[in-house]
Amino acid sequence: GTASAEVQLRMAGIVPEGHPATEAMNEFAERAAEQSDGEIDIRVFPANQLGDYTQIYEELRRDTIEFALIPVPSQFDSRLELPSLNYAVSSWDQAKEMMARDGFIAEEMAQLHANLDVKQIGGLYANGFGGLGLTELPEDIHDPTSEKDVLLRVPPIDVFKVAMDDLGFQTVTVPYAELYNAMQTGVAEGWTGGQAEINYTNFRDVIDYYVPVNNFFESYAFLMSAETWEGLSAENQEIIREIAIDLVDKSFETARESEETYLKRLDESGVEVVEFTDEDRERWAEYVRETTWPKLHDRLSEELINRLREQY
Amino acid sequence: MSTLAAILILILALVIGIPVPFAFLASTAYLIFQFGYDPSFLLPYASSRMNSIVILAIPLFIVAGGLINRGNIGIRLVELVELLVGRVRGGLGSVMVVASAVFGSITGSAAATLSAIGTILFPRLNEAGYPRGHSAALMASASVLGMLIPPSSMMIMYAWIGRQSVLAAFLACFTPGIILMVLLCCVNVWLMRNQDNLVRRPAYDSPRAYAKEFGRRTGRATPALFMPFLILGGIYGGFVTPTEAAGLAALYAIPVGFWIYRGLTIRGFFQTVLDSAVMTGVIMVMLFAVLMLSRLYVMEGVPDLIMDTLTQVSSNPLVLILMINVFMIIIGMLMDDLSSVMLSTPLLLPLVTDLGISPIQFAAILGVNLGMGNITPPTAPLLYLAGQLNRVPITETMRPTLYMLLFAWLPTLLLTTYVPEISLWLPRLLLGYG
Amino acid sequence: MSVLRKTDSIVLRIQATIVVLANLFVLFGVSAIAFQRYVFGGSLYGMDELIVIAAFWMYFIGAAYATRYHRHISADIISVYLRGRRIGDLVQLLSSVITLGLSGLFTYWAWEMFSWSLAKGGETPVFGIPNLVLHTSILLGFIFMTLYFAVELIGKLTELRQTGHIEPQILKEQAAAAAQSSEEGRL
Ligand code: NA
Ligand code: NA
Repeated sequence: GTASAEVQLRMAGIVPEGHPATEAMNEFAERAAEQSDGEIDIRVFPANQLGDYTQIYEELRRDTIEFALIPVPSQFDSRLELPSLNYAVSSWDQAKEMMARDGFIAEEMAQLHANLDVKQIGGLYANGFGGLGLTELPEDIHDPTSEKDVLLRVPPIDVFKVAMDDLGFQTVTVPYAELYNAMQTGVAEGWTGGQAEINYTNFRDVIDYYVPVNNFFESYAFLMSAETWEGLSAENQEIIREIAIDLVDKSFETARESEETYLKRLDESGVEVVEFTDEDRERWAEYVRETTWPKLHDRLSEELINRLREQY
Repeated sequence: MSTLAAILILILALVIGIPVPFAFLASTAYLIFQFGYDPSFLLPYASSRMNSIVILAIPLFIVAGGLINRGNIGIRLVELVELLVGRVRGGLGSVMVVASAVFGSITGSAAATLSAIGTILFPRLNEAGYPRGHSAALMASASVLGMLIPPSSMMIMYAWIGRQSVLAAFLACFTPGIILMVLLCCVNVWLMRNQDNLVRRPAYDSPRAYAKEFGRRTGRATPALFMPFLILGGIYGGFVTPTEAAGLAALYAIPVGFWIYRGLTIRGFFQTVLDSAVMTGVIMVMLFAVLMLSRLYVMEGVPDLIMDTLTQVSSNPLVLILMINVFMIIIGMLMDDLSSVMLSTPLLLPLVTDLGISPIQFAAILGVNLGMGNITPPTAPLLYLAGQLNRVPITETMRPTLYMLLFAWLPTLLLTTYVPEISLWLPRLLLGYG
Repeated sequence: MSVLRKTDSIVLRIQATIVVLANLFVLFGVSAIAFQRYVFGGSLYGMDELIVIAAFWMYFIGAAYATRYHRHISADIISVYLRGRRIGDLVQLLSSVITLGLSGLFTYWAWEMFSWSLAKGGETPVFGIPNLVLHTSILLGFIFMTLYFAVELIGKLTELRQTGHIEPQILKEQAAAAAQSSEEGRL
């Protein structure tokens, strides 16, 4: 970093070099330096170098990490699970409308972050829709109510676990670090929690099927410690806000292209991409919104879920 | 410059006898004050990293090791191995080495191997006329097989810190372990070549008598021999995760120790649970401290700095990896194996991957190198433990240890470093790795 | 004096009980996850959270207990080498003082972490157990470690005053082990 820079920011991320989100952070650093004539110096720490996302979030609150592009953890307020709520959005248009810039979900999240001394900038950063990577394909996968009889690894949070239980899967919670081996050996017969891309890059050798059910939309966010944000000059705030908005907007395009690319690559690598139409997705979405959402009042609050339902 | 000072403070703190975790903390505190960090993130950072079920394999293997030790499970294995390799000259020494390898397949720790096999075999080797210094040195070296032959708590630690596959790291160390086992047997026989008062085990009257004895001992060892199948079969067959396998090993050792081999008592059981919890505490607080230190190293760009320094000396990858090995040997001389892994992994893994070495091969290099660190003074916990168990001054173990380092350890380390196939063929074969 | 000794042994007994229970909970908890998967085809949802919290209590109370019995790993080379010399005694005192100081510093930082969690919250995803439960184990662990290091330092100073030198810990242990094994008639 340059010693002459007035604003020095450490920016933490969780994915390695080469991943679009890390490239976005690098681009952020470059553009910010350029547009501020070197006044803003951002040093990027990708790949969990400064800790995992729960730790990074805690440090944003403490102002020991100033800036980050991370998924949002929910240890300080369970309502922050809102963007991961299964079928909060079910199509790309809906995702962009509700999550980018000042969409409904983006605004709600910005408010929740503000309560915790964290500033969300530019809306939610899109990583794309997640689906199911499976080693066993249930007989009637298209019917949301059928018994799936597959041991599905879910992330250990209710928004996933309850939805997948309701959809007829048997759920297990193997640690992510052991997931590859678990699927290789049958401890789990599939997983939800990642998009086509991660299924291709990390799991194509163990999974046999990928079902693009779009049960959740994986998003990150540009988050800054409120203390740091408030210490910035108005011009610098504006520079950062504009770069963030631009990168968020682009992320939806990139993620959508990446989904197409990786669905194709999965197919080419011998993973069967199971046909799942928009109508199938709507049926699943309807079912989860009806059946699962009411069970999540504890975590997301009844009031928030009701307001979300009014959006469709 | 400040980075160098941080490392010097670490070394100085170790040398004047500050406990390892606090030596790490000394260096951490120095960096904090030197660079004006707000320290409030460090403890939460370390605890969030340790907040993981994967790392629990280490305490579980420690409990399992303790229960196995108390449960008389080791002696059955020794009796069987003795029948197989005990009849050549210097054979009892080879029994010690091979039994350590076999015992290694049911425990994740070198210290557990040392106390189990050492307790059983030291009296017999002394009786057979082996110099005490020689058998202590041999046992110390052999006990590292307990760590190289999977499972291995050191490899669990490496895989966890380096975000690598535990299974692949286990398998990578297997062949180097076998090479070391063979070389240690050779060095033992060679060192004992002129020792003519060595007692040989009696030969059996007939092949039939031998077969009968073999059957008897195999039968008695079966519950113990079943353990590797339970642990390794469970992991590689996909029934359990490594953490769960460690738990099941401990669970299995309870009835076997209580009712089959009758080595365990209620009192002994609780004592073992207490001892292993305390040993776990010692290790985990070390991990806690090193996590804080390595977070600061990352923020200060220390791995880059080491890389720059090294590449100024030479840009040849073969030379660089040699220097990385020398660096680890120095670390290994100063620290015990687990704290060395904790310190070396975050520091060196980025460097070696830059050099085009697979993280899985590096697992094996690290295993052999830092395993060796356990028997190289000044900090040679296994050698001291062996000396203590066999009641022999450490000075008498030095000469045999030197021979073993030169003719068993260094060849194994060089082979592992410069022939990637040695560590990689098994992970490739069984896991399709790479 | 006997009150102190009594308190010491009660505290140690409580610590021992905590780590034994925590260790058993970890052992049976991890095994239960595996059994549950095969016997009932599901998983013990959220069990990980409880196990890891128990593990932290084992780690840090175990580390405190280890301090009381000088079980931390350290290199005693210099103190053994310089045994019986004034400089050797000084090195040992220096090492004890620095260790105590560092332990105190980190106790203070653990306290800061504890107060932060107390003020700002934070909880586990499934059962909503406050992070404070976990952070308490760290704080208590460091408090007891500091206490025991202080006792160790006082012990060394007393030894120095009474005998004129400080015997290195490792040699004391070896002597004790030798005495014990000759009692058992093993030598
Ligand atoms: Na082993
Ligand atoms: Na050493």
